[in-house]
Amino acid sequence: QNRAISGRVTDASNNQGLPGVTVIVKGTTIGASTGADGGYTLNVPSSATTLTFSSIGYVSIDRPISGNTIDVALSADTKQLGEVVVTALGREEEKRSLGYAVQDIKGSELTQARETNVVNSLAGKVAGVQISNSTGAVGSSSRIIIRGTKSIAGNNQPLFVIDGQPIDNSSFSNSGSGGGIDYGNAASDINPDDIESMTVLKGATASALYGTRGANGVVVITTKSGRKSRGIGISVNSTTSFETPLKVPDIQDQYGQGSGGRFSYVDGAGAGIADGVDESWGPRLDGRLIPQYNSPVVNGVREATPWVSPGKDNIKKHFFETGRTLTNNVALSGGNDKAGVRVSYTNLDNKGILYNTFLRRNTVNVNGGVDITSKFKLSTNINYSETRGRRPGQGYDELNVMQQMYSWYGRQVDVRDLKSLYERTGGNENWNNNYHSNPYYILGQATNDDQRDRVIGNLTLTYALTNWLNLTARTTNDIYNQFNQRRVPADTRNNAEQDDYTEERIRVLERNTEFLATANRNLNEDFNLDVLVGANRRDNKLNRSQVAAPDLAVPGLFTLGNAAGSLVTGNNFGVANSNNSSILNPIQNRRINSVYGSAKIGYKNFAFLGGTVRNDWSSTLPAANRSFFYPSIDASVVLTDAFNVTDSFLSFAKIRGGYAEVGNDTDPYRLQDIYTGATAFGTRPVQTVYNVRYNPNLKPERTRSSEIGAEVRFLENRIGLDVTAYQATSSDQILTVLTSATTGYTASVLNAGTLTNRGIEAILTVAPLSASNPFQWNLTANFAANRNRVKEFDKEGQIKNYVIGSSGFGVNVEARVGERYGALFGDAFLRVPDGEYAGQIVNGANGRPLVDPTRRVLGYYTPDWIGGITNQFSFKGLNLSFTIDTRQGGSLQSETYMWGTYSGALTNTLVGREDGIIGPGVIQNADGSYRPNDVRNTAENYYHDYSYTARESSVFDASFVKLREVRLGYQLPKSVIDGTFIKGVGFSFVGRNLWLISSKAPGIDPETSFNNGNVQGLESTQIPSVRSYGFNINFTL
Amino acid sequence: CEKDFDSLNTNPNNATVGNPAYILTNAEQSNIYRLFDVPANQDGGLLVIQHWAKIQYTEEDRYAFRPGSYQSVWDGFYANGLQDFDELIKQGKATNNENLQAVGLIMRSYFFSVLTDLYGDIPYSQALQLSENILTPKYDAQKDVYAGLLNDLKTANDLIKVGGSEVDGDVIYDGDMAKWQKFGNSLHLRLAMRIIDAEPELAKTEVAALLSGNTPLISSIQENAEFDFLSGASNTNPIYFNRLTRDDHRVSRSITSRLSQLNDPRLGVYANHPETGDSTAFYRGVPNGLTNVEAADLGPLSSTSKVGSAFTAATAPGVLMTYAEVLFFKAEAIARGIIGGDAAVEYNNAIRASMAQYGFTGTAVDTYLAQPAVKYDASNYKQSIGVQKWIALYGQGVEAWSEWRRLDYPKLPVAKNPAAAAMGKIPVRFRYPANEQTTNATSRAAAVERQGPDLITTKLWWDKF
Repeated sequence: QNRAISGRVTDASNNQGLPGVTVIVKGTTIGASTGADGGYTLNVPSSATTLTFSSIGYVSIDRPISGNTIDVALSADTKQLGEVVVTALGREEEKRSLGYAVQDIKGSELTQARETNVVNSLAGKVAGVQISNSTGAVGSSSRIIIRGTKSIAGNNQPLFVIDGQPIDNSSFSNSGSGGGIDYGNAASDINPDDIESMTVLKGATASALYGTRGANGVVVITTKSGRKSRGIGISVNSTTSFETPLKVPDIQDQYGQGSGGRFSYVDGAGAGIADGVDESWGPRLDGRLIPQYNSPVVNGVREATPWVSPGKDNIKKHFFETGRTLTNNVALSGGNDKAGVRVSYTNLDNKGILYNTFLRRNTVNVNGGVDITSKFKLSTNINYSETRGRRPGQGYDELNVMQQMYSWYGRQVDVRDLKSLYERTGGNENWNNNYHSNPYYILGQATNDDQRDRVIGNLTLTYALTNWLNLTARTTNDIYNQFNQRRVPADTRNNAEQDDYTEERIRVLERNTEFLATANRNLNEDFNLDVLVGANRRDNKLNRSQVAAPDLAVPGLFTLGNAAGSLVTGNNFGVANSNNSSILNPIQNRRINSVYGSAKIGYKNFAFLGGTVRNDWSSTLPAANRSFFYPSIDASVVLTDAFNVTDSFLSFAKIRGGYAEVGNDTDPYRLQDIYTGATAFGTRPVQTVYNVRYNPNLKPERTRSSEIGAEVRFLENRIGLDVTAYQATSSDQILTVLTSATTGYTASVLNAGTLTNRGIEAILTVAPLSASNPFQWNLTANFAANRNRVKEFDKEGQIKNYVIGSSGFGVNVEARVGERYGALFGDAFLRVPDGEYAGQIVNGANGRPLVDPTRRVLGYYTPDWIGGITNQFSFKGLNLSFTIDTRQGGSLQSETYMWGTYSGALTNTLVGREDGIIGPGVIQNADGSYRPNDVRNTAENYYHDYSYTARESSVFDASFVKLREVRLGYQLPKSVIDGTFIKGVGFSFVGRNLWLISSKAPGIDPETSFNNGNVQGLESTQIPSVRSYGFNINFTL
Repeated sequence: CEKDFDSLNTNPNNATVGNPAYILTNAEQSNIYRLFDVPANQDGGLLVIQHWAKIQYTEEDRYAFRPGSYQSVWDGFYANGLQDFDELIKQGKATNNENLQAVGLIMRSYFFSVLTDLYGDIPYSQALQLSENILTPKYDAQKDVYAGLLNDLKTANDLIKVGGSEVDGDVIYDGDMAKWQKFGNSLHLRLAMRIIDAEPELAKTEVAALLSGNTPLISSIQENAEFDFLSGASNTNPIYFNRLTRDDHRVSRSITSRLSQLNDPRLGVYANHPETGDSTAFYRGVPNGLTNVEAADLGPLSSTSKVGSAFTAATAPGVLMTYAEVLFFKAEAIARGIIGGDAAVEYNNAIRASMAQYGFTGTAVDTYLAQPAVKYDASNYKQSIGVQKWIALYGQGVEAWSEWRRLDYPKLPVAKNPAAAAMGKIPVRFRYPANEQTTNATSRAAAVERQGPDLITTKLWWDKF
């Protein structure tokens, strides 16, 4: 005789209902899942004695059955983040059985202290995962590197998989050191509110089943579902946060615009005394009377007005606005034993710290499942998002207003006056008419609008052929359309006579069709066999078109139809970027067919041996090489179980190891040489041999990696340590190598680069207090050090380095044979080679530094190590957590510092303003000997040369320590809400990126880049990263 | 598993087959454009040779050439110029179109000679062979480059079959192979004469053969090798295009004063009157090598002589080689005793040919020629020919620079404020581009070892005096 047992499962840390918890009658397959509010009902046979409650990320609990109501509070499993983890292809596996490292993050960690780009939420929390958010611009992209850079020239971003569905994470940003827009990475469309958990598969052993895209690791996302919840559940989650710049340059407020200490305004274009100059080497801001751009003109004469500073915080306080992000989510879930559905709507409204910039996103997610019969199940997840952005220009470009604010600016100019000038006139009136536009005019009129409409959906059918054999068919589609509009009014650039308008349309499709057969059987009492066989077809399509109207007829009417002349295609929004393959190839199609299998055999649940095989066929490779096979193998032994250790000190010990190979294909259309066209010469068509030589004999890239690890826990699991050592060699890399033009080509596609990575990562978890203590403290620390080395480019050794990218002012980011990846290569100061003054800067006879004619490596952008510590405290309904993370080592070159020093904007240029400066270093005498520098220069002359002569002067250690996240939450006790329709209420104060605790890069956040590509370690007039703080309210009904 | 893969990976965006006519049009247009564009010509040869000067952003006029200029000239001529002409030679061979091969060879030789005259030792024998997996072509000594080019031009002459296979897409001569033959041989003459001080025996043999009367050469100004630019956007002359957004160049005082002294009617073509100021009825050239401040001190931009409107027009031709040059070479060959004849007659004819290019004929020219300062001076043929050639080559910066280096006339002053790199002298070459240190370091190092330091003051092999 059955009886019904019901109850509610809550999270012990905050008393919130916990959905999706599996409740099983121990020793049977009878079970249910909890609904959105944590409630469950289960019919149990009278023979049942115990219920087991388990959920990913929580410690499982057994409860004896007594009475009809069993409420349970589950504690987060900080010792071993989840007994069961989601691994490749969405399989749930016991963590103990894995021969490789995985780490997961709960969805609730993502939805309180929010990031508009969910990728940023991983920062500091997962060992060996380096997250770099590019800038503080709305919707900016983030780069993830897992266990080091694997590909010299290609994509290094991990694969994102949602509920078994690979999704696109392209970046169509064209931002670089020379300007452009950061449109973010496409994975930023993922809505944190719909995430149940994220698992990071770090090594190729873990991700080998994903094939070509698994080499960089995989972020496996499981979404929330409504299946088997009872009745209707409603949850509401609302976050309001405010954003301010985290770090801005230290700008001086002592000297204003001008040159040689002189300034007087006539027209702002050179007619007055130094009034066309956009540097701040002018008179001291001491209140003297000087005609200025905003001085009143009386009877045609510009009066002299007091020459004063608008204050040290002119830019910091007045130019940046307080950003504001509202995120509101409401989710409905409902269901019964046979079916369930969850519908979620999220609205994100983000106003940037720069005037007239924003990001808005609406997301609707429908996740449903139904058991059509007891054997035949259907589930689907459909996600629709629409994103609207208005984004600022980036990089060293007039259309990035920071270029003006940080360097090329008159320090006497009050930004509030510029704002009111713009708002009063709507035009481009400004303090300078030689080079610059009013920054508010740029932000207000030279707008970059983008919209992306995206549907991510999948449909999965599962049929249980027997109780140990399941068949699954799944089809997935990720499709989006992006539309970018760029408006450049006539007077924003010094040479444009008419308005410019550019439109870009991008369509991306990824479609996967997959069949899987999975079997899990106990072969006998001791052996368990788990087998999977699958096949997949993947189609990727990209269509991208850009059309520019370089001159518009009617001013201010930004449409293609208003073009005065002919339209231009393929213009990459005015940013030179000839290597952008999606401009060269606006239509790209690719197909990969795959078959794969895995098998794992377990012995007495303490020893496991697993392996995978996969074969891919890629359309992008030549017929002879397009089929490629790769295997992986892994093993693990739980020593404490194997040797029956029952020790009060040692609770758990496991060793594991694995080896994997992963192959990779290339971009479409790189096998056959092409001829490109251009504007016809009169009526004659033109063609030219394209500058990049393609390669008809490409082979797949290959990464071979291995890892070993151990996990030990002590004192009843209260102290845990998980250590992994790994190495990976990526060879046959497909590179577009810069070649001497004398070959007839400026670049050539080769199949030869080799890069190695090796490293260690460790996770330490400590729970100092016993689980019975009402006060709980959990500490999780992670550490990872990765070393990579570029081994070779071509077999013949003809190529010694590969230019990944370069700054606009002569710093290359390179991969150099024998060195660490990401070398910053450029000019250094000439230094005394030996003797008394060894190492000192050599100055010319004019007392200013000389450049070493031999360029050299000034640093590497790849860090020495990264790590993070998260502390969580809880007491009853109150909980506090904070995360500190760090990146140590690595360098970056700062153009903010370079130009800010050149232009006299930064406080470091105050030294020697009145009396001149004798720079450090020596001067070479006629006889070849040296003497200490004894030539005095004006500060203006000295800093011009110091900052610009050699990039060495602006290369800094990029190490930092950041207070990444703080959450202080309170969950209303049950006693308060009992008897109301409310099932749970929580409040929290949250903050992200609150404090740059330590940094060696002056005036900037060293965690910066232009986009999420491989060109890192360069900074140019960055839009500052933001400090975000606010509050979150969530409740369930 | 591979159904449709070949069609899926067939490039839908770009042509995988090159049409020789389209390639030829582009190769002619883009490379002749490059020859007269800012880096090689307007901010290169024309400043060094003091046809032009700069009045704003005067760095190049003080011999501070931009690293990017060295790179763009090198990359452009190799990867977009030589590469396309080489492709035409290959296609010509594949289709048995001997005339196409000849056109490819002549043009490839032309731009190889431009490169070697700018840089010195350059990759030649191993250049353009990436298909043979040569990623780092060796630099050939200039002597060997010239030997190769002379041979290539002989081959071109032998290949040409007037009335033979058609060459389409040719803007210069519209496929007229008789003219191409004349141009190829005239270029051959130019290159042979270039090495006359360095390798006199070979040069004399070649020059004598070319001027023996049996070899067709450019024989009228109508046969000048010129490329006529068009007025449509992207089709214009590079000087016109530069003037759309920039106003940095002026005519050099060196040439305005020289032409004034000689009462040379070409002055009115080469330079415009200032638009404002005291001398709107005269020509006011700008001294070379002023600092920006000194240039600004000359007064408003409109108060100095801009480059003549004929040269800044959208449709102004790019001139590769002229009848006048052939005649100057003939005069020089006589003066050097390589062939018989009257050097003064050929010299006068050369000046007449140059004058005729600008519409000056008849008594005006006779009067000009009769001036003592113009008259051919047999005792110093290099001076007579050097000065008149310098005038005749106005606007052709690279060639004028080469011939000045070879003939050492006219005597030009050093720029007023020369960059340190020039060591107080007029530059005699470009530096190798920086990327060669990265992509072809060993080969470049060997060239520097052989040729001398990679400086703008290191003389080329053929530049003996």
